[in-house]
Amino acid sequence: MTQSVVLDEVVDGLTVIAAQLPYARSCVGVLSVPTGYADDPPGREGTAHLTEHVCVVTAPHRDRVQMGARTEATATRYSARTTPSSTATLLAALTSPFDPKICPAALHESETRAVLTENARVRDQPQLQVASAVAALAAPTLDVAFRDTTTEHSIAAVTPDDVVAFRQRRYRPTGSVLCLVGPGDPDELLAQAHAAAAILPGGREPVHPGPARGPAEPCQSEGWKDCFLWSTLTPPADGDDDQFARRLAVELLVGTGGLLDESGTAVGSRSTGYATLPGRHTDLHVVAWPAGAHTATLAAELTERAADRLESTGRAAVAGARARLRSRIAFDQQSPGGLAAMLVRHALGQGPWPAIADIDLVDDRRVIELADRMLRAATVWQIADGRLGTVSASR
Amino acid sequence: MTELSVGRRRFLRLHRNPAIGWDLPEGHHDDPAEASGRAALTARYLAHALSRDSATAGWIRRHRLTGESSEFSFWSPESGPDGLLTEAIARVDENPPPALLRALVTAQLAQARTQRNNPLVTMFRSVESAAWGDSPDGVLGDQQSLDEASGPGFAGHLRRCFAAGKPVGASTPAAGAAAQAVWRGDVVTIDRPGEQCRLIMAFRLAAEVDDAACVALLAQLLDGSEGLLYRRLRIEAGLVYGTVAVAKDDGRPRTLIIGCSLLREGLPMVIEAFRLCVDEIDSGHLDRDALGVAAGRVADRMLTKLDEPFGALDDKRRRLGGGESIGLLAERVPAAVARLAVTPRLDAAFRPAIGYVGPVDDAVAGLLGRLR
Repeated sequence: MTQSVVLDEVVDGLTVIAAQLPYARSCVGVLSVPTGYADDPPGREGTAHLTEHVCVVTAPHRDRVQMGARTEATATRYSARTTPSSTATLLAALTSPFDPKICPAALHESETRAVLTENARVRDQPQLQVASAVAALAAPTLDVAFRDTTTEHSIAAVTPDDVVAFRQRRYRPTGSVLCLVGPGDPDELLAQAHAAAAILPGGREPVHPGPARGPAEPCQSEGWKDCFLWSTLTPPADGDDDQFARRLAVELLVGTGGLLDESGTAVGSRSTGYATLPGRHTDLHVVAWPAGAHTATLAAELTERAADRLESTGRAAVAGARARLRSRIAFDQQSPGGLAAMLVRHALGQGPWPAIADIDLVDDRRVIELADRMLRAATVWQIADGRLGTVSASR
Repeated sequence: MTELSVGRRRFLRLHRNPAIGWDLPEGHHDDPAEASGRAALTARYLAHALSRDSATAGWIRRHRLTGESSEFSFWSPESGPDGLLTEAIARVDENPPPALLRALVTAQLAQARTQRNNPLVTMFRSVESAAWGDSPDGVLGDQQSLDEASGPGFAGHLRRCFAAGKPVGASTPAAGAAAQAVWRGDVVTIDRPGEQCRLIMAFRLAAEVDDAACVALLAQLLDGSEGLLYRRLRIEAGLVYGTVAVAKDDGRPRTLIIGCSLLREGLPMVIEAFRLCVDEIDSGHLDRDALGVAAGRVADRMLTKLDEPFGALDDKRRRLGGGESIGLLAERVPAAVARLAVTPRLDAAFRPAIGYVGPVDDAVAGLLGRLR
């Protein structure tokens, strides 16, 4: 058993976290900025994604810091890794997105092409779009249904000045989270992060909400294979203490050996895919099975008998979910990147404080109640002849 | 003036336990021709059974199926799981219910479909086929072969297999590496109309640099968004989206694999740019400072991997298979910087293997021929 010390504070609106992982041989940093493709200016879709690319390729010390990033609907996450002795360079790279500088035209062009090629790569894998298509129909007004609608035309309209303006407007310390995990003294790590955060440029006021978006448009994709789907939304957490109960309810339903897995096995099928679309307050979960003769039986099993199955196996099922969740969290938090991701999610109010002993403190009844709500709110779908449609309405 | 909230100091208890391994001595090369996919189905059934056993439910599991063995790795936050694992395996029903087997076969077929539809998997498979004549698509079997595999003989196969399974330890024999592999150096094209292209090549290494530390360092120098390939093909030429470089060290002769993804219309220009990159890798001057940075990264990555929960177990398997300890290998990486000054670095006696995944039209074969 190893103990990790975790320190946090808020510097000019930026939440700064430093954690010690005594045995780690590298230092990892994560920066989460509260803006994503949902904030793309109308007609200039692709701005947020292009901004992320520009921030990465223009970050300093890239010879010593390995950096990556991902643009989501309402957040952009940067991650960086380096040796423990180079924490200062890691911080310089990771906080550079807050300092907007004009990007050379050639670089802007090459990154524009890179965004389009990356989007084409996603289009090549139709299965990656199934969850978004379900979200557009199941929860069209929620942020989980936001899609990146970048087109060649829309991103071509984004200029280097637009990227600078987007960074000035949207990349603010307030609401962002910076987390460092490494083997060194956490007080020293925090002091370094504090010093870097205290000199960040940019306004301190919170980011204003982006333009209001209408309900998501239904979407279809060429190349979908026939399959059967189940989806539901996680109920919003009722305070920090409820985060593990939500995670356990999700695990109880969709984990390996969970209720849906057992329901599929009972009718001779096994799920072939699972996706979560994370939202600010609620997440969408989608599970897929191959289409076949069992589809109608499985639909009936999930819509008519799953709640009864939950009632009859409740406490034993929660025990199984606890064991799985405990292992997964304990496993993930052994790497600096895994621990940093958990601490950032917790700081954003999207995840529990990752102490696995707390999993055992959650009341079985609360987990079963949440799982039951998710089951009753679930919808079953099918993709047939490449089209997504509902099999039957939720109960 | 800096506004500062009062900070907090909290503590997390981390469960740093060793992983345990359990290996079946049969891999997919042992599948009867009429029952291909049997080794994968066996592993799938065992994983299913252990995930339902009260002692092992919830454990983190990883599995690797090779031609010669089926390797399971387990990790649990609880201490002392070795005995629990042995007991759980002894409890596995060697006569699985037919409905369960049908469900597992369905899932395996779906996994095979998913893999075939994944362009990245297809890309790496194409170059393995071009290099060694592998046919990895058959590892999971098809409906007919899995019907045969899961038929009346399956229970006997499970009994024999489980009896021969062993925890990973000093008595585990070295896995029979595919030492008989014969290099082909072919071109494999896979038609994917309307998709982005993937171009990938594998090279044998010159004797002077045919060493695990050298090939790992060379791949690191080339790979990722900081790598030479990315700089040449994306930043300087603006021709591709992603690049990849991998050192392959799987018991067969070591290879360097490089690849990129691009749009079909860019293929002629990428072929020319790729040729220049290959020349640079083979005989160009490699910047010593860049190699030094890459050496630091590759050693860091190796040691980081070694620190992960499955790291020590992977290292043990590697050593039992006759390989060098990762810790020692990481120590040798800095010395590889000087060795890579030697040219040529690629072995001209072996034609490169080429894989291409994307739209195939009349011009593609000619374009790929320029890489030979």
